[in-house]
Amino acid sequence: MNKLSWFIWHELKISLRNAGDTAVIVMFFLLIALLFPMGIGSSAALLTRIAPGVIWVAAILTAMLSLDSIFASDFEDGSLEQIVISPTPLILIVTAKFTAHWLITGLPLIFAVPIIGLIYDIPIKVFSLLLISMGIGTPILSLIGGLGAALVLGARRGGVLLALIVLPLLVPVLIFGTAAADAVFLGFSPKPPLLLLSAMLLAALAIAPSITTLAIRRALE
Amino acid sequence: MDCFISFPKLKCFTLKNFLRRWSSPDPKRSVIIISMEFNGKNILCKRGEKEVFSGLSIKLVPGEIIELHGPNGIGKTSLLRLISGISKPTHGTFYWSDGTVSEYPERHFSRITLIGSADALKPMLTVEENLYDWTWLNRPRPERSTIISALRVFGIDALADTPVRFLSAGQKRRLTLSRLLTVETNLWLLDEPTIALDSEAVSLLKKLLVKHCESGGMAVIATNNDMQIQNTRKVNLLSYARSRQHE
Repeated sequence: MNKLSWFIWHELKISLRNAGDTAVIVMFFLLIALLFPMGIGSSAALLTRIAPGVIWVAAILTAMLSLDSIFASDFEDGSLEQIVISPTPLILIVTAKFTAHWLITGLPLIFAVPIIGLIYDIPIKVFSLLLISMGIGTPILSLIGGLGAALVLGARRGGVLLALIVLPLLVPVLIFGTAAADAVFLGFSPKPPLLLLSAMLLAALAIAPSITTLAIRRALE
Repeated sequence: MDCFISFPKLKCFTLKNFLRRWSSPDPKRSVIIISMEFNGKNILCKRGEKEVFSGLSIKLVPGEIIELHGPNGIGKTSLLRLISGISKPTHGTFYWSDGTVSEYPERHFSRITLIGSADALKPMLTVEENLYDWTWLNRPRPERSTIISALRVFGIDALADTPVRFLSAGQKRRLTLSRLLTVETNLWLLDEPTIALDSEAVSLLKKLLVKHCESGGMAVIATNNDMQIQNTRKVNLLSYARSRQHE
């Protein structure tokens, strides 16, 4: 086991001991998705049409709930200082933390989508595209969200600030993630929004870890 | 020069080799022979706009312990954080005999152990897991026997499988201090190391400090209690600050 996989396992181990946290995140995701039919009525055609958008909005709001946990507890208990002054490159630890965050919060959301799919009666073709767009898009939530979490480390009202920084940056993910599934309804090819989403993922992978390391070092100074 | 650094032979560059080296630093890359001076020259430390101290120079030779004394807020912890490399001085340089800290930060990090005021422990993990994970963060994969023997020295090996959230403050401090035994480094930076410790653990820490220095190690201790270790250089930061004001 190399250091990258070891640190991912280390993060997963801590999360598994707090298994309730992941359960709360999935419940929150389901709850948001279930609130929409209560607010806008039970027309099956309308619900099917808005389902991709609802699922993506729920995923983004759920991600906001968990972003604070990426670095905040390490910052408070002094672990982040120990990480920064260890000979292990900080960018490696940051990458491991992003990966672990996606495995703990992003992946369970993808597994929870079928439940919402049943409630909203999503056609199988739309459903499969939705899963693909979630598979590409949820890592972006962890990467951009993690970067935002590092930027607000130690700040007063960090949670509010985090939402103000991250939510506007996630709007393109929402647009292209929803557009991929909507393309089926509109009779277009889902390829362009999926390719744009993939490009965003690659850009986030290239940029987010290195800027996050700078933000962490700055926060500890 | 006392420091010996061996670099691996150049191999054919492949993506696989690159990823392996990036994610698993070579343990032989920085072989430490503990016999090296550490210096800080003309250090200026600011906290926000407020100047904490300025013009401070520090020299540590192998086998030396410096105790930092002074009232709260005088800058003891700030100085430890500067030496560790967590913070950067507003002005001035820290350097080893073979190069500055800012030039070779990873080499510097492999030569120091910081026991800060925060314990950096994960309450949901066991005592053994906490020490094991910290050690692996700082060195190649450790042996379990190394971890257990370090815990035994501090008398907490019986608690190896106990989650840290069930430990007392003193036991947590013992666990934090056991890090000194699992990773060998030149310079120990200890921030109020005796807090919550009983007299037995304090005398054990003193013995470890003496042993560390006998083998050529160095230590900087920020404390308000006299550690009563022979040949320790005591630096009162308040006196230093006053002398600077008179200049």
